[in-house]
Amino acid sequence: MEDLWVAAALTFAGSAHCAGMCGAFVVAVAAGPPRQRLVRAGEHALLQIGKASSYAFLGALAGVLGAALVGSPALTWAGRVLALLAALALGAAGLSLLGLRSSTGGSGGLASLYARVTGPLLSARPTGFPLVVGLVMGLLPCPLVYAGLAAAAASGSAARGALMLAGVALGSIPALALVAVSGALVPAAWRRGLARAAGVLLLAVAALTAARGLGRGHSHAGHTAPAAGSEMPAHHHH
Amino acid sequence: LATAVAASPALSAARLPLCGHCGLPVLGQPGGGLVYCCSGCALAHRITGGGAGHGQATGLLMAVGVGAFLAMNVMMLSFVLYSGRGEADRPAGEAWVRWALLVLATPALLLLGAPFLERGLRRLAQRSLDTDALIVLGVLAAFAISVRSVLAGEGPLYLDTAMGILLFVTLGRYLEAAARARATDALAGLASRMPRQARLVAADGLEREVAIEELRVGDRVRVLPGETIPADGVVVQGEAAVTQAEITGEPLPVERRPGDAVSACTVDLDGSLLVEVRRAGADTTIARIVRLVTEARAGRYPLMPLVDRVSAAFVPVVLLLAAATVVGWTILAGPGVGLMNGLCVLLIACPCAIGIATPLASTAATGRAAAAGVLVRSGDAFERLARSRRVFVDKTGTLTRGVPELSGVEPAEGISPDELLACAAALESHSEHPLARTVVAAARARGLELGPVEGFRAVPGRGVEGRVGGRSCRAGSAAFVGRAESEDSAGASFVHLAADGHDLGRLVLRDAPRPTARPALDALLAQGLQVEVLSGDRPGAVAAFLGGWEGVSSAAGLLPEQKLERIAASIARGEVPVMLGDGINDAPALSGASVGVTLESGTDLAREVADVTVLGGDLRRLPWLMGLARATLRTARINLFWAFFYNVVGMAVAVSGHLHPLMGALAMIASSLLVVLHSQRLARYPLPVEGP
Repeated sequence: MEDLWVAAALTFAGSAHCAGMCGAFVVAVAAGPPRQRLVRAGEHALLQIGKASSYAFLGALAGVLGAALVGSPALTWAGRVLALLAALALGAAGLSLLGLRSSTGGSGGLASLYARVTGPLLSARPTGFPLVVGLVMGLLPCPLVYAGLAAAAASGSAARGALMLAGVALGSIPALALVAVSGALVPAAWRRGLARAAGVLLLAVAALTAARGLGRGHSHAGHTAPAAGSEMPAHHHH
Repeated sequence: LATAVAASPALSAARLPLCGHCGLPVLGQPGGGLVYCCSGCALAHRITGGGAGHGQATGLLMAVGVGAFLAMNVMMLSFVLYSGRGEADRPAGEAWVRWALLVLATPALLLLGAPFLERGLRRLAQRSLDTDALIVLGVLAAFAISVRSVLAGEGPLYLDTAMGILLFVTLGRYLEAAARARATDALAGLASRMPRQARLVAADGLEREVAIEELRVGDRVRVLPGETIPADGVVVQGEAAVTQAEITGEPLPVERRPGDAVSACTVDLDGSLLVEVRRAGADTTIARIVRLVTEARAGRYPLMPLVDRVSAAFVPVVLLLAAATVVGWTILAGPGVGLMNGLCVLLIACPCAIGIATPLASTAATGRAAAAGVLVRSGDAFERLARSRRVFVDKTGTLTRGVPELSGVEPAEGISPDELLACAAALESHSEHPLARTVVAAARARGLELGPVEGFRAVPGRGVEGRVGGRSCRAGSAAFVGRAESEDSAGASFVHLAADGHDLGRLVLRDAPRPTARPALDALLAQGLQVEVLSGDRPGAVAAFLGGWEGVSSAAGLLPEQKLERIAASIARGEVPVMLGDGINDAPALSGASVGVTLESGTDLAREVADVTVLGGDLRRLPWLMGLARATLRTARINLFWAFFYNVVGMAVAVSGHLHPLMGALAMIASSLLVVLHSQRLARYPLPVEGP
């Protein structure tokens, strides 16, 4: 369970980013005709459950992959490589929070797929629609998720991977709840400041991970310390 | 027309039903109700609300969404189950987890699998062993084994494999369908371009307005300047310049005099004409084109996609292998073990990545093509482009710019070119004739001063006259300025000029070739493709245009149906022809070809029926696209290889009776990941080199 809390804490630190990116979905779900407070709460819960499902799924997937690499006795170097790759992924996440790394913008096919799925749901609002919107939201490219997936792969366990990503989902809830309650996006200036702080933190964690990866070889690199194939971000784009 | 279509076995072979979403012909049973070429289209059609009500559309999206939610949780829990203990096939002690997985997976199977099950079972019943059949076999086998294991309280669970296949295949089909833009009906727009009324001239000379449906062969109609000619016929009185730009892309108007033929939908530019109707209503050229397009679209024979061809070869082998496994293990260890191992062979045979191997490649390629200014309407066009060895090209408006250009100034002795051009431009600046605009623009481009004109007069079908700089000037046809008719024009038009009865010289106007035409066709030839120019223009003009170009063959004087015949004959030879054209007269050929390519400047109809639209008019994009298409097919092939590779290894293990659920999961993840990463390479395919 420690995996979950550490991931949640790190994500919480960086969740100024969530308020901006996923916040748009939260605002869209919160919009619509007036309805009871309980119904609204239920909708937001479904949104978070959907997102957490996507995250946990990706985490388990990364864990299985990591297990296949790290668990193999023939690949004793795999752990070291994974830890270094993880450090890179974390560093990239930190840099992107600092605004020092621009996004590639995602592939057109993927973006249109997302729009085609979420668009009709957000306008027609059938019962339970936030679940599916959340599911799609959980598959959006996100530096915090990449960092989490890096950790999941390095853990070499599907269970731990799923927990770590569940932690990422959990850590983003307070910021998103704030957006839901205030009904508006957190001012960009605040988010920029908070994101900078989180970026510095992630860079520090990345440095730590790299140091541990080099020092310890393939033994798992600690809970906060991750590793992921550079595959994971790429996979995410699809 | 009927003979043109019937002449080709490929076109007459079948009246295939059209997909209710993308409008492409569907291989399969024609029957009542809407049919779709794939479950992705069926899904997209309902989701995007075509036909179905909005509620139903979002209902279906919710069904798929909830199915995906359940499937992802099943896979996640299954992975956790594997990593919890080394032996996933041993009862985990937590029987409730296994039951929970089954409870989650069953509705997901129904929600995600229904479209595949329905189609796949129908295919199996028809003994048509394609991809859907393989998917259904794999999913049902995995599910059957898992249900037995849960009920028995022991044995392996393959629910994640079943869910993975369904999830990825649904994603792939959806990507495919989303890439296919829904065609808007420009055929209706074409009909609206026809005038509704005609000015019928009775035997006594009285004129009255009638609906064009009432026109009969032999009727005489009056057409005034600026009006659209309402029927095919022959000029009996009057002279006028008539433009066919709308239909053939030919920018140079043609002079029409008594005895000359005119077509419906062409526009009378400057004179009053009396036309005797020869063909009216449904028999006119334009109506025939509409009919040809409709028939060519319905008759376009679909190429069996790569993935289905692979499956068609693979499935029988899988079935035989599974049967042999059942028999072998029944003899060795009894029917129970035999059946289980046989099912294992079936379940591991279906690669999870089978559904995304081609769509991911073509989606990446579509994005890359769009970045280069080439809009590709359906992903499967890449496969057909890649297999094509023959390109047919229209000339007018495609290889040429489709706008007249001043290509020569030929003054008489003692006259400077600028003097000639300035005088012509001064006169023509008062005319609405398309050639006049070109002359004026050319003069302005040279910074020439246009003097005032007095007593301007336009003589329909002949030219213009007026006083320029104190002299009485005429610009127009040779006869108009009193010169002998000039030699064969070979695709050029001339504006002759005279002042006070003295010859000043002439201007030569031409529909100039696009600068990119030659490099584009040369690049196609260099790629080893056959290139043939199909033109409705006169043989002399086509020959002059090509001028002994090595390797490019040509056919001139073709009617729209004759262009289509050429395409049909090519298909009948087993070729995969590509047609590049822009006019309404090219539309039947564009619809009949395996891939129709048009230009942004093309007519609405051409853009609608074509699979590919090249923005900006740079023809070199076509050879570039052919290269991208071949890279895409190569990528799809390698994707399919990786998709099947792990599963073939898995099958060997399954035959031996040692398949482990983790093996299934790893085959699924590894092959899907490789397919995703490998397809990304196409997103970095080099863009065409810009330049003149």
